[in-house]
Formats: sequence, C-alpha cells, structure tokens
Amino acid sequence: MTVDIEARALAIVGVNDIEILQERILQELCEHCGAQSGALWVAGERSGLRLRAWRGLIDRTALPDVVDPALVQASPWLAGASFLVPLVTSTNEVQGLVQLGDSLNGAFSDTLVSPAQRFGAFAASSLKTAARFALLQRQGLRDRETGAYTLSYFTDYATKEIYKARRYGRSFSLLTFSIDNLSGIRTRLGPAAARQAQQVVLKVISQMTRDADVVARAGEHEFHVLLPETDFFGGLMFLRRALASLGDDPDGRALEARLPFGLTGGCATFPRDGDDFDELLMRCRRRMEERRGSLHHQLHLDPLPFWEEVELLLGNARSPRLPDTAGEPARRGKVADVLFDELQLEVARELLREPGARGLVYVGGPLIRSDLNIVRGLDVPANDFAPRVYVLGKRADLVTHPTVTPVFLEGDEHLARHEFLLWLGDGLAYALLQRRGRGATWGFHTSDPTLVEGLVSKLQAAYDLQPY
Amino acid sequence: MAQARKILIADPDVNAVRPLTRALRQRGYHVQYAPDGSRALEVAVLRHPDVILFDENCRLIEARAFGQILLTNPRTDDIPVVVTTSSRELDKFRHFRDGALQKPFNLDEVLSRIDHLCRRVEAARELKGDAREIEGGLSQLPLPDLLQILAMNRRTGRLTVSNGTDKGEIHLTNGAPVNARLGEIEGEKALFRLVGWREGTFAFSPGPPSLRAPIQRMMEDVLLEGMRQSDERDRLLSSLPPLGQLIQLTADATDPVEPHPVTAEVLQFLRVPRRISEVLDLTNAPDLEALSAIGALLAKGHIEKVAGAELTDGPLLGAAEVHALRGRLMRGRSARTTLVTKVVVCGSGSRAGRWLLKALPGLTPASAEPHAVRSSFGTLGRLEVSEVLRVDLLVVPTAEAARPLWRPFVSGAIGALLLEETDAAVRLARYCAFELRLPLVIAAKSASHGMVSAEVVPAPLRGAPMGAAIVSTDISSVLRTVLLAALQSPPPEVPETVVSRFLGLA
Repeated sequence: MTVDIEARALAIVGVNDIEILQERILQELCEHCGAQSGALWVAGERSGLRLRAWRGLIDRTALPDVVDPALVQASPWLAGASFLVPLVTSTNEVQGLVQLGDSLNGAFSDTLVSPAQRFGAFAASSLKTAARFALLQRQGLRDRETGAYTLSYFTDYATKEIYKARRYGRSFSLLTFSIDNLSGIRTRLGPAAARQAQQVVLKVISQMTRDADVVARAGEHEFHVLLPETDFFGGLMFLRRALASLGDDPDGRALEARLPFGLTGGCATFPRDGDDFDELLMRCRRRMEERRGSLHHQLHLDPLPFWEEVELLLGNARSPRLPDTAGEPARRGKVADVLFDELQLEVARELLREPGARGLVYVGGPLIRSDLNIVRGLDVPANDFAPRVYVLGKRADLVTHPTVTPVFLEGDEHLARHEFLLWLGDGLAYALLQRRGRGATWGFHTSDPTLVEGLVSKLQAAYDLQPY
Repeated sequence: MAQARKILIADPDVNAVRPLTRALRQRGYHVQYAPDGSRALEVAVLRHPDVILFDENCRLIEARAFGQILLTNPRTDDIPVVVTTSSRELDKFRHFRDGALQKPFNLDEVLSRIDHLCRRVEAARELKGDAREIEGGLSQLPLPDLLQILAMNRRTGRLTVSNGTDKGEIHLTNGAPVNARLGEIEGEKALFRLVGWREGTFAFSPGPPSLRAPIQRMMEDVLLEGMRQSDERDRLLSSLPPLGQLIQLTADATDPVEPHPVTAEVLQFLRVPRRISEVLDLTNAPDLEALSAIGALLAKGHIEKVAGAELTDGPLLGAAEVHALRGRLMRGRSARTTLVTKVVVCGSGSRAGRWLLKALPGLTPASAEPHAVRSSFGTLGRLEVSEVLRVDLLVVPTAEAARPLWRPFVSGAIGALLLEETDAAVRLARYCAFELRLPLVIAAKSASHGMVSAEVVPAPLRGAPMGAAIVSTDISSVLRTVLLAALQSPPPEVPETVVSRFLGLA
C-alpha cells in the first residue's frame, strides 16, 4: 500500500493544470481508499476553502460551498461514515480538504490515515505550485495595449470552463462587446483616440467583473467576457449595466463629445445556447446584430422616458407603419380584449414550469386586484421562486402576496388609460402595450429584446424600482 | 396571535429611513434602528431581528464584515441581510445571499421584499424540525378526531395528510379550518374529500395563519357535513362504474331543460369524453353532488360509458427513457425533483386542441374549458409522463399578427407537434424546427383525425436540424416520438458563410 500511495503522489506532482490536478487528487484518493464518493475544497484568492470538485455517489446539494480552514485538522480523521483528508503543506498551510464517503469496504480503516496524510502533503504542494503556475500564465498572457487577456488564453480558458460546466451541470455566460465607430474614431481623431476608446471600454467592463470573470481582447474593436456560474439573466444584467456605465463614464463622455462612440453587446449561455465555444460565440454575435437592427435603435428611442416611448410605440390607426427589422418582430394594431388576461395566465404558467429560473415581469393597469390572472396564477410558496413579478396600478383589494410585489400608484393618469405586460426571461423578451378604447383595444407587442430591455429600464427609472 | 416581525435598519442617515420606518410600523412591524455597524451588530445579537437592512455607508463595521460576522454565529446565521446603497454598482454585493437594494427605492417594493424575506425565514424555521408538533397514522387517529383535538386547543398552522402519492393539507386558524388543498382542488370540496381518508399519515406544523380563507364554517359543522358526504359518496360509488371509466354524452340525447346547476356543470365538462374522476376534479360542486348528477345522467341515458376505454394505457416512456430525458432537461437548470417541460402544438385550438384533449390518454386539461381551445393560445393540458416528469401541451397562435408571441412562448420547449396542414400552422412549425431547432413530429392521418393527410414531410419542413418525422399510428406515438427526439443533442450550428464555402457557393 505504501508503494501504491507514493506512486499515486508522484503521478500528480507533474500536473500543472489546476483543474486537472483537482480532479486527479480526488480520483487517486478515492481509488486508494476505496471510496465511492469524494469532494474536494481548495484554498484560493478568496477566504475559506471553496468546493472545486466532486465525484461518485455524492449529493452535491448537501455539500457546503465554503469550508472554514480553522475546522480542518492537521491529520486525516474519521467523522461518522466519512473520511476527511486535509491537504497541508510542510509549512502547515492548509491548501485543501478532501471528504471521502461510501466506502466499498463498509467503513474506512484507521490504516488509511498515514498514507492519506502523506498523499495530502504531496497534493497540497502540487496545488500550491499549480496555482502559482496559473497566476504566471495569466500575467504572461495579457494584451499590451489594454491589459486584457489575449484571445488564445481566453479560448483555452473557455474550453476548460465548458468542460467544468458540463461535468458539474453548471451554466456560464459568454458576452461579446463591440465598439461601434472605432474605425471612424481612428480616421478622424487618430490612433491615440482609438486606443483611448478601447481602454475606456475595458475599464468600464473590468470595474464590474468578479475575480473569477475573464475579459479578453478579441480584435481591434471586440472584447469577450466570460462569467462563470452565471445564467443568461445574469449575463443580460451585466450587459445592461456595462452599456449604462459607459454612458456615465467621464472619459467615455469626453470622447463621445468629439465623435459618436458606442458599445453593442451580445450574450449567450452554456448549455442552452450551445455546447461549444464557437457555437456560443456565434450566438453572441447574432444577438449583437439583432441589437443593432432593433426597433429601439431605428426609432431612436433611447432618450425618451417610459410613457413617451409607450405612446410613440402605440401610435394610432393613422400612424405610419413600423419599420421592418431583421431581428425579432413587432406588431401594432387592434388586439383581442382577452389577450392581456390570457397572457398573464400563460406567463404565470411559464414561470411555474421553471420556478428556479430568474426573470422580471411587470404588469401594469388601472387597478391592482387579487383576481388578476398573474396574481391568482402565482399563488404558490415563495421559497424557491426566483423570478421577480410586479403589478403596478391603483390599490384595490390586494395588499401582500407571497410572490408578487404590488406597487401602488395612486392618481397615475397613464395607468388609468393603459395596460402593459413586460417580461424578460432566460433567453426571451416580450412586451405588450395597450390602450383600451370604446369598442376596441389598440395595442403594440414585440419580442425584440433590446426594445423590451429599454422599456424595463425606463419603467424602473420612472417608478424607482430595483434593477433586479 | 403571531409575534410581530422585527426589522433592524442600520443607516447613518436617520432622515433617509424615516418614511420606510413609518410604513413598516403602519404594517405592524417592530422597527429597530442603528446608526452604525457596531450598534447594528449588538441589536442583531441581542434582539434577533427577522430581517436587517444595512446601509453600505455604516461606519465601524463595513457591510461585508457585518454579514460574515452574522454568518459565523449560529444565533444569527439565519437572519437575512439586505445591503442598501446609493451606488449603481449592485454587482459588488453579489456575494450577499439576500442581495442589495439601490437607493432611492420604491417603498412598496421594499415592503414587499421585506415581506417575502420574512415569509422565507418563517418557512425555513417551520422546516427546522421542531415545528412538526404532531405526527402519526390515520389508522390510529382518524382525521375527524385529530381535527377536533386541534380545534379544542385552538391551534393555528398546517396539517398535511399523505396517502400514497396523494398529498393534501388543511390550514387551521385558531382551531377552525379555513382552507384545504388536494392537488388543484381547494376549499370545502378538498376538505370533504380528505375527511373520507381512512389510511395514510399526518403531520401538524404550527405556523402563521393562511392568507386565503374560503372555508367559513366552524369545525363541528364541517366535520359532520364532511363525514355525511363521505358515507353517502361511498354508498353511491358502489352503484356507479369505476372512477377510471371514460364517459361521454350520448349521441342522440336531448339537452335537459333548465338542469340543476351541478348537472349543467357536469354536462358542460362532458362535451369531450372524460373519466369520472376527472369530472369530479373539474366541477366546483362537492364530490357527492357531482356523483349524484353523474348517476342520474347515466340512469336517464344522457351520458354513457365509452366502450373499451378503461384504464389500460401503458406509460408513454419507459423508466430509462424518463431518466435520460430528465437528465437532459436538468442541464443548466436548478435541481428539482419534478420537472415540467412543454411541447408546442402547431394548429388551431378549436380543432387540434380539441382533438388532443379527446384523443391523448392521460392529458389533464389546464382548466375546465382551457382558453387554448377558444383562442388558440395557451396551455391545453398536462400529461404526467412519470412522477418526476410532466409535459405541458401549449398551443401557440399561428396568425401573423401574433408572431411576437412565438419566441417567448416557444423558447424552452422540447419539441413541436404539427396537427394541421394549414399554411399558418406549417409556418409556425418551420419556425420551431429551423429557428429554435426543435424536433418536429407531424401527426398524420388517424393520428390527427385526418387534419393532416400528407404522406411525406412537407417541403418547407424538410432538412430541419433536429429532424421532422411523420407518425400516423396514433397520437400517443406522436408524442412519444417527440419526447424521444428531444433526447438527441442538436447538431452544431454552422454559420451560413461556412456552409456556402463548403458547398462551393461562396
């Protein structure tokens, strides 16, 4: 057994890739100790030991994400049916902790303690070396002009992220940002201004990223961002904030004062939008193109406040036809009286099919009644209901609700005449705006994501509602 | 009476929080105030508030440290901490479990957020074990006796009752039953059905009173009536066909003149053939009245049994297939025991929808008269493929004016069914198959009641990325084909330019 564990230790010492190393440590220990399940927590840049790998018959939901290093003992120990192996270096630095369970032999024997401790020391040193190696690799792979990672590093990182996400059933989001009019800036204002535009964009994006997020320069005017463990909605929120922050940035404003300068972004999420990097990137680019062709840009809706935009979109029977767009459609005209009610019911059903998926729904109308279909349809316990649902209007008989947030607006004239439903979800967007009249209801509806996001942002600003 | 909820507001600017404090007090909350992090920590440990709003400008202890200190103390680790900030960079608070609120905020929204957090905390405390006060078997302690004990002690909380896979609950407020649920059924109807249970287990958990109170009678009244109905129901059932029997309107029956409302309701639901159990679930009337109406209608020849339609249908998918499909659907989703997915129906509600409701065994309508049948938009019904997998059938309108509804409602579906041959239905099917890359199955000939006569895949649907198949045996086979097709991974999407280059067209 002694020879065996040393051979296993030597096998992991040469592994520099930290992701592979983590898997190997767990695999070798599980095999050596006859464990059918195992989990590994590793020290990182943040405090505590973070869950990094697991295998076998483990119930992921029962594992804590973070373990306090103070709870880790100096040598392996048995706790109930589990065998815990600390990964401690010769200088007593706790680099990780392995939990083994479901012994093939019924229970873990005391004879495993000594070899596991020796393996733990090897594993700890290997982890430390691999972490340093990864740091050096990152430092050596940055673009000189902007400080962002290079595309080759990013592609490599994204490929590993896909492997991890697939193995552990997680999602991640890939975002692509493109600087509009960069060639115009270069021609008219010179290369220094073009470089400044790139740096402003990178600064804005970098201010919002977490430690685990990776930003790379993909080309002259394009940046990619990878957000691990982020769903589509999280990616979308990042995109919204990045676009808004660029408008607020003083350097960005100064540059824009000299020449029009903007940013367009697209988002795709693993696994729902694709299984490999190329597919995700293509989806990102397609969404970016959809944004460029959106009615929101064609009608120059950006500066309009919420209700002015609603009036413009609704128009009336004499209004000119809406321009054709390449992306998601929009339609204006008479709508069925029952559509608003049926939509509420169907949106509620959609949310309940996947209550863990995030989303935003706003339903506005003259009165907040308890018999609104969205209110009745969502009368469920709030514990695992992730979307945020708001009803806006004059107070009637609804005061509180487990999942719906009533926003009481007394004397709001717009809401007395209009009804709306705005819905942003995981990879989808929809808006219905309508005005009830004598005999007919006039409406506008669209699934154009940029237009719907714009309406949602303006509604939030108009009534001081939270971004999410 | 339930204890008032306690909210701690930590904010250096007392004037800024005054409106919120006032609004919270008006709603019956106890509000505590702390001007800095140190004082907030003291109040949190000593008073154990239900929710803490902590402003990022608090001095002495910053927000992140405050949250971490509370988390490491077992007395305070369950208190939700919401950070309030004037900054737009809410992302820096992403690691806070309970999120952040950006100032200025809408008062109604904050009150609602606090209410939701309090409910979550209360639900979590209820689940922590000590809440399950009484547990046992109904064979030892029948439900009527148990309810009387709870009434005498004026208990408030929830009594859950399980019998095999059926689960019901009765909400009590000060000993009186105010609501009951059994699946989709609510109120007295559910309570009367539960009172008839002789086998199973129960557990009572004290908790806040139910918000809905459709039952207005006292306990004695409800129990007497419930037991009477239960006895009568059993007696009636012995003279009726089994509950799984499919019944329908007799072809040559004349409409009864001004029938009793319950009879009229039963007749309305029998416009399509249904099982007796389904009719009982759908009617608003208590089971006893609905059964009496069915008995009378059968006796008078207004309705009849559907010959050879007893419950003989096998499962749509085998266990291994369900497991594989569930595994595929779980990718990227939060972990849940029961998954609900959907299949898009390309066709009109009045023809395709009605046919599905009539012909697809086990399809439970979304409501007594699903909107989808009338307006061609909405969920038609739900099919329980297994205990862990349910499939909703969704009708999406095919009209050009309704096109903005396509993407939001087709997204997330696992496949599409084409049940009509109209241009509009084929256009929607093409959208599902090519734009959203869903597997498409065309129900032809007898599988669509003749609505589709094609023997080959129509030209606009050929070459669909996930395939387009024709099935003409029966509608169950059509749905099974869709579900099995959903098991495949979609082929990688290749940009058009690459395809053109490959084909030598560039």
